[in-house]
Amino acid sequence: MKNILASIRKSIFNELMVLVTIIIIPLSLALSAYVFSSFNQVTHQLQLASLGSLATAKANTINQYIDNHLNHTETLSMIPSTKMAFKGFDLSFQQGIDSKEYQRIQSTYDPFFRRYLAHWNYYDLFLIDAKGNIIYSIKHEKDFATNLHTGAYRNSDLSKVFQQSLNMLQSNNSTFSFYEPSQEAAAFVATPIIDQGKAIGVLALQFDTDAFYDVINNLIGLGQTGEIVIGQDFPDKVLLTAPLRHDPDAAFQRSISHSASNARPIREGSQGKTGSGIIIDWRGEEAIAVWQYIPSLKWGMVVKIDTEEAFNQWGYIEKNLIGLIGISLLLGSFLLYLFTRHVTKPLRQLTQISHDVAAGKQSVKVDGLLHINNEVGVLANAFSKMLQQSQHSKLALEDTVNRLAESNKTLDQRVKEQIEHIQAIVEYSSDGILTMDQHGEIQSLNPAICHIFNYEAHELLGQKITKLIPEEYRGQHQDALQQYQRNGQKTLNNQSLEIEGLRKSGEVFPIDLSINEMHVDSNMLYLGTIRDITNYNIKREKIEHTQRLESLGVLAGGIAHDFNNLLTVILGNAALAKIKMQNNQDADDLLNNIETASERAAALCKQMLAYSGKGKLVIENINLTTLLKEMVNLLEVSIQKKISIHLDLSEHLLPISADTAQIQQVIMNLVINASEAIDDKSGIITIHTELIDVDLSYIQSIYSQDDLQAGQYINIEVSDTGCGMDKKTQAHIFEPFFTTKFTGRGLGMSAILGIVRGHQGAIKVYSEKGKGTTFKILLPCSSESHHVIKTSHTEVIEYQERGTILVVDDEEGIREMAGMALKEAGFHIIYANDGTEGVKAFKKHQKDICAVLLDMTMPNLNGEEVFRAIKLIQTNIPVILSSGYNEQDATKRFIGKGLAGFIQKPYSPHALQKKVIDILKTGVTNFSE
Amino acid sequence: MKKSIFIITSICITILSITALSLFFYQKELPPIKVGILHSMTGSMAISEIPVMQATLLAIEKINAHGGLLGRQVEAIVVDGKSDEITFEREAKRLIIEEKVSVIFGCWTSASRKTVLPIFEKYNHLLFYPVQYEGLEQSPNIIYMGAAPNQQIIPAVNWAIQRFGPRIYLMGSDYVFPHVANWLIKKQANALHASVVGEQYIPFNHYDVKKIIQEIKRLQPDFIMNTINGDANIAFFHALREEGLSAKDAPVISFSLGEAELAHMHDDQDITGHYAAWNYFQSIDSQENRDFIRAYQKKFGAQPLSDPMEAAWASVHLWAKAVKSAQTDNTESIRQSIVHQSILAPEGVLSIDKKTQHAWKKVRIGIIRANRQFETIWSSKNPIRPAPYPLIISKPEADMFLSQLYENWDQHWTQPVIKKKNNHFPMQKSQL
Repeated sequence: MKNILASIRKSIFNELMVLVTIIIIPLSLALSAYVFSSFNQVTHQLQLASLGSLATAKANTINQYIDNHLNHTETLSMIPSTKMAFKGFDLSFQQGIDSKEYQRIQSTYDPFFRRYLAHWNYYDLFLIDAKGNIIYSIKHEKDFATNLHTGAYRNSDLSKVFQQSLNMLQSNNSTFSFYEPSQEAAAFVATPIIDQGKAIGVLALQFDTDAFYDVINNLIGLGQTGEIVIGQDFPDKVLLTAPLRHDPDAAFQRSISHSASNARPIREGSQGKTGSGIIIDWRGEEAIAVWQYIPSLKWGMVVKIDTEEAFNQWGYIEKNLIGLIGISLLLGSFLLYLFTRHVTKPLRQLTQISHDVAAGKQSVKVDGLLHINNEVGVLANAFSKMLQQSQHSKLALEDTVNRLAESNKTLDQRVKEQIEHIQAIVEYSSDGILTMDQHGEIQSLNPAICHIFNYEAHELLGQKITKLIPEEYRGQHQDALQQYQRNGQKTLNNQSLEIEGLRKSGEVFPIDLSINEMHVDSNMLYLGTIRDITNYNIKREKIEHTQRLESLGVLAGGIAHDFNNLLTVILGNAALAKIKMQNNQDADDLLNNIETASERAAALCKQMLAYSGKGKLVIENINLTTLLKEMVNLLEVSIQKKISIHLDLSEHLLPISADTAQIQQVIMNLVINASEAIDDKSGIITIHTELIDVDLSYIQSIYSQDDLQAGQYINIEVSDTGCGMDKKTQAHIFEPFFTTKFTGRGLGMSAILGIVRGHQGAIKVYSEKGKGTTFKILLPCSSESHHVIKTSHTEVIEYQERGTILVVDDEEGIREMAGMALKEAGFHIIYANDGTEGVKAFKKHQKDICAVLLDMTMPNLNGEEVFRAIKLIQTNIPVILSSGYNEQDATKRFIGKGLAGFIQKPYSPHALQKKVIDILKTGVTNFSE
Repeated sequence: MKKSIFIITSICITILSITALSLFFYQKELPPIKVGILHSMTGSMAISEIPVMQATLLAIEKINAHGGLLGRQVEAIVVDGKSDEITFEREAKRLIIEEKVSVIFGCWTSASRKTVLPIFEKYNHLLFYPVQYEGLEQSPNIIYMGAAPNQQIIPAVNWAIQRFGPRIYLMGSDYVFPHVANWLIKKQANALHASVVGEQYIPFNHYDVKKIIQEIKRLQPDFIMNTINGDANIAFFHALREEGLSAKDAPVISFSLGEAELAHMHDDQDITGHYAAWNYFQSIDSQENRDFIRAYQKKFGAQPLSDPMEAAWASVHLWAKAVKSAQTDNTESIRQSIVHQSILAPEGVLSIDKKTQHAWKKVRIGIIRANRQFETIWSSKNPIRPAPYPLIISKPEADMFLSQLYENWDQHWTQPVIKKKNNHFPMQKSQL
């Protein structure tokens, strides 16, 4: 049911049709039925009324018939002739019917009575005397001359009507019944013959039954099937007393039982009830009937006609009506169908269009519906606008979608790239990355892990992380993991930890580990980042080493500088003292000792400066092969006799820019160290030189700690066959004051390193315990030529007035020594004990001052700043710089700024005098620029 | 959902509209059919007429209980004739003219009937008259539901002569019915070779019958024909017994003494064994009668039922049939229709003779038993054709007789009471 309802509701057309079906059609049918039944009822009533009239008329006719006969009889009885005839018959009858008198009377009155009989259409006429004798009859049937009180026919209807007439003094009639004398049905009318107030006899007439039946069977107005049924009531049945149309022999032959189903009309009629209705007659046909009572005969009469015929005309109308209604309904329904279709067609079209639109059809048009002049048209218009807007929107949407798709694509690409990027980062990361679940099982890892731990990926996935942890750390790991799982306390959080890892080979190596928590799909994982810091540690150690050496160098340089200042004072004063004490041999010796010791101290300082790379360099182009050949003799005497020196020198060496003395010192130190390594045993010390092209990879693989440039280098190797060194010793040999010897200051190797680095070179040691050691030194080939400034030896400087010198030095001893030396040579001296004072003094005495001796390293304004200030005041004033550092280091900041000259501390008073005088003489500097 | 509600609502509205329309056409209130009931509720006739009025109402009630006639209720307008002809005349007029009744059921005495007859004929109206009477009358505006002389008096006289002998004593109230009846009896007696030995009339409300009884004692008739009406019967029968005349010594055949009157007798002994001629006795054993008695007694208590009551009850039903048959309450139409009607009444088949407008009636003679009920001892085999003018007289003869009575009684149908009631009333013999 619900489905049907639903399918109906899907379309207005269906709904309208259903509405028509369930409302209009039943309504029409109900109306038709009502009209029908009303019409039927009216027809029925009309038919009944007409039948009733017929029945009444028929009853009237019968009653009239009887009444007429009663009248006839009464009239006849009152005629004097009758009375006379009666008296005549009465008297003669007593003489016998065969008597002459009776015959005479009969012949007299017979024609008279016969005439009446014929005229009124009777069957017979009787005269009955008061005693009951039938004294006259026309037919002379068996009843004639019998006594109705005592004779054979005393119980006949004739007897009854006779008695009643006489007793009641009234005419009356019998009903029809079989009368034996006539051998057929008979009925009688009787009336008393009253003569002078006394009843003398009775006149009776016998009906002509056929004539009576003719009256009854007059069926005019009853059509083809109409019938009049007449019957008399008996205790258990109704006897039909007249012929029937459909059964001419029915009279007194046919009876209808009271209990018969079709007995009601005739029974009721014969019992005095009137009625009407549709009945089933004795033939079983349906008939419309009216029944009533005929008092004069005590009969019931049913006037009926078959309904088929009675309603025949109605049936015809009925058929037409049904046809008409049917046709009207069909036509109406069809028109309604057409109308509904017409109304719903645009709606359906609209629906179809909507479907098309919904289905995404492009070329949808509503133009055909726009002209419709009703709601549908309005709807179509609205729909059309909506459609246009929708199409615009659709286009816009498509654009947007396309753009979105494009950007999506780009985004996807970007995301893909990003993912690839991130994947690549993970894949190519040299740091190992792995994830681990809460049970310590490895979930994922990157190739670096495999690389670091030397495993294949499948050997680690799903395995416990402890596989990668050395035995001694496993407990610690488990504790940390359990502790975290218990109370969330983290031992590691975004912090890296340096611990040790375990390679597949069992090798334990340092790693940098950081562990982070991460949540993926509600699972907590640990992300471990692992870095193999084996190489890093090595490098770090080297850097630390170098830094340590550098800081030692700075320390040593600083000490040496201060020492030089002190030695400058000592040497200067000793020299000045010697001059003043020329005549005192003892003093002279003492002063000489001071000088010697001071010079040895200066040499020590020089070594310290060399180590720090700040020793005074006298750079010149040297051919190492040549230098070594010159040194061989010196070297051979410096070593044990059992040790021979083997030279393997290249003859085609390019020169190097180097300080010859320092290079000699390097070689000497190396050879002596080699000889000490060989100790008392016999051995060979091999010295090898060669020219090599060094590229960066070579430098990095061998001298990674040094900043070397690629290029041509001279390689010097000093190898021995000595005891060799262990690794630990190798790590420390370049540190100052490290020594394996009980004697010695432990500055030899550090000085070598300082010298080599001072020459932008590199040194490497290869040593194997018990087999020997090889030192390998690379020195860059020279690209330019150097002329050597040879330090001149002592030359006596005569005193003469020479002008004023401004001495700026924070070291009072130096200041005084320099002042004294310059005063010796005839200069006036202005002292300034720091830079600020120096600038002030120069401003104050700039006209007098012919030169400035400026210390490099000072508090407040340093030498450089003072130089700039002085030069601002007077551009062409000669400034001589003095410093404990070597000239190159000191003067490189003044190049091009008009520095007049440089004098390295410690300097002798003479050297100072000569320098100042030379500069004032020439006006130009003589140091290398 | 909304659509189905709409559809259902439409259907409901349609059905309601149809119902409303059909109710509108169908239930249009039809006015009731007015009928008049004209009987004496007071006066000397009240004792007889009130039960008749009740029977009439009972029949109307039954018809109304079955839906009325032609879809209309029957409204009975009961008026009191006060046992007075003038009142009857006035009330009849009022019913016809003012109340515009369709029909009137009423009257008991021939005096009242004959007084109102001109009214009915003047207005061409219709009266159902429920009581046996003396005949010699045939008006198209009256349906005579009681017995004509040939349906009561003549058969009874014939029966009595054969049963008791030819010497007849006539006794009656001093008004038109007894006079005419006795006139007829005398004619019949003559025709049947019998003789009337004495004839006495007493006014209504006259109870001194001693002298009459003494005359009867002296004359010793074979039987007495009693046409006394009203409560004078009580005095008559009582006096009869007091004088020592038993029912065997002087059997009385009454024509106006029914079960209702018997109930008012002071002593059972006064009446037991006497006779009456009627068309109906309460004792008739038929389904129709049992239904009638039950319905009446249910409504009015255990009262006796009598012939006029039955005739009155049947009148209403016959009239109803006529209305149904004519499909109208129009008086003229019913007058034409009524003559074709018949019913199965408590007394048997009851039909109207077209020629005379009298009913076909079966004649019964009953003997009064101690229970004040009749036992039928003779009856005609079939209903008797009504003959208001018996064959032994002629119509001109009858008319002359009646007009003479009327003129003698100062143009009344009852002998006027001239003297005071203690005086002897004149014993008037018929002039014919």
